[in-house]
Amino acid sequence: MLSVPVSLRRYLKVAKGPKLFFIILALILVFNWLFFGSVILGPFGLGSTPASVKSFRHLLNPAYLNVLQNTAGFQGRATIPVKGREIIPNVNDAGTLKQLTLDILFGMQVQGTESGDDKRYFYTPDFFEDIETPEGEKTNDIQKIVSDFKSLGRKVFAGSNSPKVVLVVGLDFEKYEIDYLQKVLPNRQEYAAKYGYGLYARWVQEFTPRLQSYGNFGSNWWRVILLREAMSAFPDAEFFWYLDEKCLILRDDINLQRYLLEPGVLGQAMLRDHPIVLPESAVRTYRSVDPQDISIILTQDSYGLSTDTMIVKNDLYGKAFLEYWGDRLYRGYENFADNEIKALAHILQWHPYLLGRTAIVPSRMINSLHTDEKAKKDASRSYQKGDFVVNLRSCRLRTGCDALAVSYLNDVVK
Amino acid sequence: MSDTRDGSEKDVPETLESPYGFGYSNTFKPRKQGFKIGDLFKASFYRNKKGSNSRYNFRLISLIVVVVTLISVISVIPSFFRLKQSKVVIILAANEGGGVQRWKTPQEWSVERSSIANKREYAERHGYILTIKDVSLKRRYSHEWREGWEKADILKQTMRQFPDAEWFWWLDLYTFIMEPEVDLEQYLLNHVENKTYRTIEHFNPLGIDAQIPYTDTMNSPVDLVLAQDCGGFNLGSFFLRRSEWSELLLDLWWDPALYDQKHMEWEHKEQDCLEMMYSQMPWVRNRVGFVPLRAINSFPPGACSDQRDDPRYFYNEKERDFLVNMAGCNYGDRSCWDEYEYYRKLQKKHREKKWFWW
Repeated sequence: MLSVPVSLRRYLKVAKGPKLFFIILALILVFNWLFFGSVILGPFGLGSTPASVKSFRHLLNPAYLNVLQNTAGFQGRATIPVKGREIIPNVNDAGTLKQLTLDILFGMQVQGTESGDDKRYFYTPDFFEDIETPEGEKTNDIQKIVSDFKSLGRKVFAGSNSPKVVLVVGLDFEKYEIDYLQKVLPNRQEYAAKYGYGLYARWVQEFTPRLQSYGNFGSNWWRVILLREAMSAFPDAEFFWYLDEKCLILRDDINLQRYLLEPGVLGQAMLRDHPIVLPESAVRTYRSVDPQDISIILTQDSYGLSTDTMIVKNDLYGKAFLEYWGDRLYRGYENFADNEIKALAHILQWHPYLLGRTAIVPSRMINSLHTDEKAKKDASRSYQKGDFVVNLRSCRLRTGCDALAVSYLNDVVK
Repeated sequence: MSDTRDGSEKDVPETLESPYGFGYSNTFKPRKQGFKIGDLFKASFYRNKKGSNSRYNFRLISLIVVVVTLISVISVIPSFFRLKQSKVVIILAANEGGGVQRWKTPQEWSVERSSIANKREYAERHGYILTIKDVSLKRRYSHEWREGWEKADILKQTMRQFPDAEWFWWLDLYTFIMEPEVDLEQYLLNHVENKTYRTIEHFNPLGIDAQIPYTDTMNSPVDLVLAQDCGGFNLGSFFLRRSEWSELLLDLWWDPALYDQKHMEWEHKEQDCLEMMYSQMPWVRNRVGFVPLRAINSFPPGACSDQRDDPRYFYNEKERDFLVNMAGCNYGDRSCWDEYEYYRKLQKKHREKKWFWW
């Protein structure tokens, strides 16, 4: 203020209007300088800073921006909507499918190896979309059965009211006699219908090429793949209960949700501080876990973890668990290739976040083992009258299972 | 004399309850009269008595007072907007190698100092939290060939350390922020879903499948923002949001069964593993958002030198890219120090230029 020339000071002293103007101007300049860093340009001076400071939009290619995906299951986006709560194959086709053999159902390449010829199966294009039959040609029964087999994996639930719980089962037409399969599927259907649950059943053979590509053919690795497929077929369901085909539900009066899934009940049932690998392991289930947080429910048999029955929640943890477990690097790992249970035990022992979402429940809640009359019974695992589920693990394949199933199914509590 | 005064200072506190009465210190001298605002006005009134231009003086004083208050108040205002806890934490990985395999040269020390100063200035300017993490070679990581996975452990630990922060920005040491004015929230983090590519189709040097089953990006937020260079994913500069997903990712990132099979192939360790998880697992894919490399991680001409004509990788002075990452400046005939000094001077030049704009 003092440096203002004397003449100007005199002028200002006399003239009142310009003085006010100069004061306001000076204030504006100071304001601009402090706020915008540019005395004269003020807010407009911001335009002089490069645009890249505010956004990197000039680097983006709008063609790929906001491209969102919702890819369907493994067999592609040509899905077949199903209104009902059951996505199941026709069990009566089992005999025909068995006669047709995999050679007809899939594409096939024969590779010569040291131990003889090796058949490599692959999915043909008609697995991924409907291929129209030439006009005038009538499809016969066999063709119908084949096309049903190929399109089963594309069926997704599209009803208005999604079930909360979905029962999942894989049917093997080579391992079990048709009579037995004709009892397992109705067993699930009756139970699911009673409580409005969904039912998702697939032929185990459908997964053959996927198993072959990582050396899992003949193993039970398809269970992991099947569960993930089920989640994609019922996207709005909450729980997926995989119950193996050799298990039967014997108590239709027990509602799974009230029996096990409600947090209050699960909190009582889950085994805390319990070894993952039997008989004893350093890694144990956590002592204080909120049952609300549980996304994976497993049981154990006398050897350790069992995959005959698993309940997986349809959330981030459930999906990540199945995708990580079924990853090709796990399936292809020499220690795990023939046995998915080894991989499961490995995951739970190395990854505390997944272990924290896992509950192990007493076997007899959902996985009571059938024991031969001569064999010694184990009170904590062997089936006793009144149990929810029986696991006919020891039945003789192809001959004995059906007879055993009949004896149990007579006693089903409706 | 002075001895006794020092001694008495300890015994007799200089308070109002002094035994020597109000206004007197222990030195028996009258206390100096402090400045009082009233004096200013008194002075002007005295002038008034003399009949000189007192009104002018009064106005002058009050104008000075007003301007000074205005300046002090205005300069404080911006900090009011930052009173809320910062949502962004910058993690700077320093002390790479830690001088274990060879001595750290003075130039390396110098680069490290400039890098830290650069980030510190940036963080202070925007009110972000800067945390510097030591990534020197450690025995527990060399044991299972898992040096790269220290990154996941540091991220986990930092998330615990700053429980209120939302975004965590990992920066390698040899990065330099060229435009300190960039406000990360405005630039990238607000509406991050609209600013990132949700598929790999835009740029795919690794040939990853563009579509895999079970992907659903429709209803997923973006929790990991990263860029790709000529060789695939680049983890020299990336953003991770705190969420269930990111905690799970950090947990599943390292797995002995995967690493047992791949440790010979995975040259870039955790980077290759993330690429594998992205290419195979839809749950990972759902929450990854890509940005162009130059948005968060421009290269100097030395990096990606096989494709030196591709403008997508390299720092563009005209467009004023945000950050330069001198990745791999330790290798070949490149010099970290020379490159670092070049960009440091360039940034200084850019900032000086601005002052001439008024």
